[in-house]
Amino acid sequence: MTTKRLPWWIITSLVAGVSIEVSLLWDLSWHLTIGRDTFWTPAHIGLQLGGILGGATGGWLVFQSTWGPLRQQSVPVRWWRGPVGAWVMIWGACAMVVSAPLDNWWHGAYGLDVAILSPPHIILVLGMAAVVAGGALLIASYSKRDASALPARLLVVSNGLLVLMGAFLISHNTSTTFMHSSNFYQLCAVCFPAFLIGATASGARWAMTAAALTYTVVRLAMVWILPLFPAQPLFGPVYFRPTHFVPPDFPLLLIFPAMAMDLTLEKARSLSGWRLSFLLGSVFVLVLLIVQWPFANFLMSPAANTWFFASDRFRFNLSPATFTARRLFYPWDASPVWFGVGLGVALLLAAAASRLGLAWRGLLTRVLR
Amino acid sequence: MTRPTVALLLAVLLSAHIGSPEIFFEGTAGPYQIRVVILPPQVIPGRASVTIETETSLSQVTVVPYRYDLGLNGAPAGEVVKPTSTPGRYATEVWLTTLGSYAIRIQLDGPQGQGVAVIPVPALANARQPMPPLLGVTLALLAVALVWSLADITKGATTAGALPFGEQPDDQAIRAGQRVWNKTLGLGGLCLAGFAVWWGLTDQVFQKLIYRPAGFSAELVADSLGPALHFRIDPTTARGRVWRGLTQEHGHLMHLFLVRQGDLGAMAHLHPSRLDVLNFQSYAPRLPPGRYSVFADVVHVDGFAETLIGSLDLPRGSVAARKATDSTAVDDAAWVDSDSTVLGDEMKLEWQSVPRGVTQRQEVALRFVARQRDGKPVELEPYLGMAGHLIVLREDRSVFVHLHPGGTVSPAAQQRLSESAGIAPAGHEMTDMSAGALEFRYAFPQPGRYRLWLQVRVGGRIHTKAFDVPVSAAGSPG
Repeated sequence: MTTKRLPWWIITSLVAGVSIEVSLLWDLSWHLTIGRDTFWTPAHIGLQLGGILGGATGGWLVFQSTWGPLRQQSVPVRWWRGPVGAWVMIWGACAMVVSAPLDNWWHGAYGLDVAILSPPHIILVLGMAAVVAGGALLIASYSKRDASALPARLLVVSNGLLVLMGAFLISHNTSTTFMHSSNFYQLCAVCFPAFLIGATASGARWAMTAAALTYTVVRLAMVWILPLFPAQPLFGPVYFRPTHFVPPDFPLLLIFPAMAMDLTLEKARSLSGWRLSFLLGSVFVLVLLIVQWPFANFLMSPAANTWFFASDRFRFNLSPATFTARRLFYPWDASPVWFGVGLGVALLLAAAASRLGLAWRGLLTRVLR
Repeated sequence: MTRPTVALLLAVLLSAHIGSPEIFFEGTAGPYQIRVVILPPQVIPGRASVTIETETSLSQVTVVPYRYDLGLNGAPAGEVVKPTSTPGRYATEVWLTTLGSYAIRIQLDGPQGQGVAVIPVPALANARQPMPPLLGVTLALLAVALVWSLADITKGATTAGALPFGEQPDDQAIRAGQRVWNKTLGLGGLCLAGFAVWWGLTDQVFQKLIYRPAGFSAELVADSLGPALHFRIDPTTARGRVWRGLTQEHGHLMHLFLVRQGDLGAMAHLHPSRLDVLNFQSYAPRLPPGRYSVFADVVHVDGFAETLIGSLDLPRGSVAARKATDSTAVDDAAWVDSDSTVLGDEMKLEWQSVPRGVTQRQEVALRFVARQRDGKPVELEPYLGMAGHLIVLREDRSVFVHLHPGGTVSPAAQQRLSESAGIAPAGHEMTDMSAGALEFRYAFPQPGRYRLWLQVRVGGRIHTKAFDVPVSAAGSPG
């Protein structure tokens, strides 16, 4: 193995992922602030560019593998050849394209984006996740041929991008008002451990912490940068009248459970499979509970009404009657007992997600082409 | 009412009017005379198309939608409307984002200062558009292609993904790849099935939001004064809309129309009195026996205007005159058991210009005139606050609309929505009634035969006359 100059297709696949993640948060903010959009908003263009760049990168690699010099580095799919990551990116770009006509019909049939997680949106999200995951697979295979630290770091970053994607998916139900409910910990248990564990395929120390840091840095940047730009609601009903872009929520404190998982993995080298999954999943949920619960109290307090934490920046159409607008915790669980039961479910979900994470790590570790 | 009839009516229901979604307004906005046509969206959130016409040269036209309960405080920023290539014509689209009673505020700025008009627009889910077959087949094939290609990719990755460069997969790797292909295809199929179930559930939830007016039943009853008509509202069967209290329109809580089914040869315009919040009663007009369609126009306190639909059987000999002391009879009700009331020798109601070559969705001016027998115009008197009323019914009763010279807009709805935003209600077009002429602008939504009943008041009496208008399909020769 030798240190080489990073191939351009590694960079473009990463740029595609970053473009998708940043644009997702921008689009979220757009809907929180302005409401009305078109196919051509900057955030949508960013998403489309991400898809096109990922798909084109994959397409070029397939072309080069089928008829060009990269044949040896590729896997066969039907009549063509290409690296695994390239295929996954192409598949993601295709899924994004397929979602467009369905989404268009959906708006006409059921109304514009009545729910974030609608069937056409889930195809779009799957497509975007595949573009990002395909990039991670490309980097993973390339890192086997480049001994330098950079590919390993990029593999951690690409898993951090997947953490961002997971956080986006559940953002509606993981705002501060839900942080004292078991559902919050269940959703986090489903969405985060797999990609945190995936980062350890890089072999880097503190890989999970670094992946969580990637999520935190990108999210913080959006929390701080978006409100610098003026915007106003073009949709009603308007309950809050923002004058600037409403930022996404302050990032979850994933760094702490990620650090604990890194330490656990270091100490529990002898464990594998379900045992390791239960251990990592439990550590994730319990440490998240220990840090996020009291932090939620702070986010609810007037002290968090600053540009730094942005706790008082509400979307324009948030009814003042909601728990979120009243800065109250939503009583999801009927009693502490039910919270305990819900937390138990969260532990099981985190174990399952960790098991998937180990599989994902295995894939990233083994993939050579 | 038979089930097929109910189904037919439900399929084309559109709030205040049946089968006639377009909203027409002709009147004043401050110092300016304007004409507005609005086509509300089929689903919410959705876009209403708004067209504004004025003969004055304006510096700016601004529109903003607002919901009754929030007024302008809850409205988004107003939007400046760009003029079209036709002088004096402005067109835009306005988003209605939640179900409810909305209004669109139109502000005109020009040489005579500022003028404002408020046009009520119901925000309802009316129907789910069908999936075009070609799109459906294409999407199904693409979904299968996505699952299939994913299986191919996992197979390729399993077979050769972990092989050092240059090595060929052995039989074991190829078999493992095939097993993964099978599993992925099975799992993908399950995902597609789950996806279909989710879609179906989403659709079911949506279907429950599709607007359906409150149930409405009518029956002939007898009280001490003789036969009477009893009407009952059942809000529990309404969908996509919460029943609110009613407000008066032209001095009445309910404007009710009875039209004999089949020949459409008899029509009554009644104003039942309220017995309680859900029960109304009217004297029974002397109508010929038969089965009648019942259309009841009501306006809710939030400015939402809707038409309740029912049916009524009048057996032969069932309707006799009531005693003179009937307290539920009101003097501005009217009925006809033929094409027209006996207008006598003194006057006639007729087309000012017979509309020819009327096609669906094409705006036409329906012009009538009341004349004396010698041709001199008759001075009209306000009837329910308007120069005249025109009831439009398609032969199969799939379209019903109650027009005024000011358009389809309910003045009571306009007033409620104006008040909620602190705006003085705009003026409706009030024709010069001394000339006896009336104009109603309308676009017939579907081709077919329509019967129109014109109602005016002259000499303290209400006169009604029926007119027939054939409407051809768009694109077909006149």
